[in-house]
Amino acid sequence: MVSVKAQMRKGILEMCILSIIERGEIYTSDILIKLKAAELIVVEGTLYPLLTRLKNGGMLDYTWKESTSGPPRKYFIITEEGSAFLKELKTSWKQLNKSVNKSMK
Amino acid sequence: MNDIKNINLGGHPFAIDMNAYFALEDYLIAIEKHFAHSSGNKEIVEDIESRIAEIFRERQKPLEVVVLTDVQEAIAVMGTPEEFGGETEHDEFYDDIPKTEWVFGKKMMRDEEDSIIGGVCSGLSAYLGVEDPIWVRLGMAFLILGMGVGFGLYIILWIVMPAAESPSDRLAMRGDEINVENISKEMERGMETFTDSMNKFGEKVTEFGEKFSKKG
Repeated sequence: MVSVKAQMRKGILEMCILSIIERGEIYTSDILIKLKAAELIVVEGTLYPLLTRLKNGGMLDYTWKESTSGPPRKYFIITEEGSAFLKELKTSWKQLNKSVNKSMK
Repeated sequence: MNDIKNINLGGHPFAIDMNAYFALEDYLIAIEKHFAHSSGNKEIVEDIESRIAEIFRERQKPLEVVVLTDVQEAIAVMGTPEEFGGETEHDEFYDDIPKTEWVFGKKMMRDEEDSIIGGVCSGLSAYLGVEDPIWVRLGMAFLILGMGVGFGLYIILWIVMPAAESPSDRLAMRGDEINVENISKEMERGMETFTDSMNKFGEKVTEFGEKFSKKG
């Protein structure tokens, strides 16, 4: 069951990351701030492998932007494929949510 | 007194204490190892390095030498690879299956998913290659009722034959080749069985509820 739980967490996290990035181009550390504020992640290291995976899967893309303090920063944007995937995820999430709530009444 | 090393971390230059340097090095090596089998592992490590650099720069006195406590604080924020939540690229599903059990060849095992009593007969029919366990069950029933030896035999087999618990067990029981593809099929099948039994459970509950409300 441990892996089922991990898979579930991962899926939900991916959906949240995609919806944060969908709102507009965002710097990695700002994604971290949002995820932490929502108490979705405990340690920051969780984010990086997920971002890389989503990027390699064609869901995300990034650009380097100059920063006033130090080296260029990575800014993430969502791809068309990512938006379509997110839409699917949201639909199934809503359905699942509905079913779970019904069954727990 | 401590020696100092100059490093370039994610594009930022830092002067770092030697003991802090070793702690940071150990941590980064651990992360690299953790993601060694992931595609894009280099990128993950680079991203984490630049984030640590950022954490160092967000210190109250960013230009001071990085000391051990700075490294420890940064590691606490980033977390150890174990705390990342198993987000490695290779499926953690397969890590649950002990490697030592990857034996090729058929094994006599009890099939508890398809059982009347202990799954001995369905396990035997898988071992003997009989498609429908009903024939082995009939044979066993004949041995128990007709000759009297069947009961003892059944109990002995029940004790001797281990239950096929994991997907790789089930494959070994049927003599299927144990490879990643077969195991994932077996796992999917297992999930279907689970969903089926959940559905049946749901039906039972509704049935019960209906009966109950009629009585009341």
